[in-house]
Amino acid sequence: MLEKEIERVGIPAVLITALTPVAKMFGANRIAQGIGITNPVGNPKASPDEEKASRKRLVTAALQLLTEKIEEGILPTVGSNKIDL
Amino acid sequence: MAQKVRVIHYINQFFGQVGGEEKADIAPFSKEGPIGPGMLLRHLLGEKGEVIATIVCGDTYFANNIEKAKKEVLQLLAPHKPDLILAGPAFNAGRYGIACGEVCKLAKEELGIETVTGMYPENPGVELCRREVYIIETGSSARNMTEAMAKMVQLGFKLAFKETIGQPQKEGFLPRGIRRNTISEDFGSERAIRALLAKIKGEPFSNEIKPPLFDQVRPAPPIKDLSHSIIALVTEGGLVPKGNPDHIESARATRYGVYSLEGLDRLDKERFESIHMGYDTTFVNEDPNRLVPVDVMREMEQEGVIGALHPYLYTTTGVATFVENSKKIGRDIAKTLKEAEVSGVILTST
Repeated sequence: MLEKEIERVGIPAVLITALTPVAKMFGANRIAQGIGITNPVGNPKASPDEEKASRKRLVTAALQLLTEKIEEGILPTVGSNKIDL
Repeated sequence: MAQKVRVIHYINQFFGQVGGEEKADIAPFSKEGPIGPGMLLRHLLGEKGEVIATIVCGDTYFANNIEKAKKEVLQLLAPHKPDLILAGPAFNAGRYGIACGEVCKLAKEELGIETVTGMYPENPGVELCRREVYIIETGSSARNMTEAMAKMVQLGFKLAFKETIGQPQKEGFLPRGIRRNTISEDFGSERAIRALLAKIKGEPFSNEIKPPLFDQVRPAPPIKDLSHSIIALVTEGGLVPKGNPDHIESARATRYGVYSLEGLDRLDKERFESIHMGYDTTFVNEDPNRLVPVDVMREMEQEGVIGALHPYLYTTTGVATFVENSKKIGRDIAKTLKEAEVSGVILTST
């Protein structure tokens, strides 16, 4: 909901969430696959350095989506469900 | 023989034969008996009911002075002690629909009188009162007056005689979003399989609960130059300064907080916590950057990947939030971001 309201005023917004199917159902335009429900941009199983590196990769991919032109009806999603970190 | 149902008819200045738009600002008044379409109403009521009075009010007068108009209409209504109030039908006329809805709500709440109105589903008046008021679904114009009024009378009599009101589709009123439990002969599993088989076969089937419809928003234009952009962080994971100074709700949020990130290279657990009730906040409370990635955003700011990290974090709690509230919170945050000329947003969600 928040993502859509922000896009509605012309500011590109990317939603990082583990629940990408829900985001698609709500009609968010830019979605990035979060790592976990309780830690969308974190990975507690990894070491602190690895965790920070994976956070940076995910946020970089999300920022990339902000620079891409999105066609209506086509929802790109970055990231994958399997996070090998 | 049973007494006739005593009905008051509420209509606007046009149907009240006072005038058109130029008379839309007249204050409410009452007249004995039916006026205009009230004659049709009298006919439809037949032997069972009578139009004891008609209350007429200008649409603009009502819309511009809602509280005052409500009081005045109430004063005109009350002395008659009617059994039923029929308002409109308003079809697709917005101000008229709003007025009809308010009059019906008022009569029911203040005087306990049963009411029915009629509107086209897109009438703005519908959303304002659909939960509290029986709104017969009508076409968009007064061409459907007879049909609309007949349905209003039918439902009105049922209410006046305290009969059981059936499903919206059967009685003809707009669903009020009220869930009433009934006992079915079949188990839910059986009904679900039957519906699924029908769906697979391409046969008609119906949902027992209507899924909500979400609108599509046109995607915003992309950022042309990330290295000169201002990126803001927003979260619905309930991240707040420790102690939750603004008392952001842990669920069913109605508000959001705005917190300064100035001077912070990362979020630390001594100063931030999550108050979200919908997920286990242990990991986030150990390291809030797992929810709001300030640490890597700052690095990217220093590296020149982004121009700047917007100095404020916008945070709310996204669990059991009413859709209307999330939209309102979203709109407020979006307005603030627009005024701050933010180029793009990363929104993190749990």
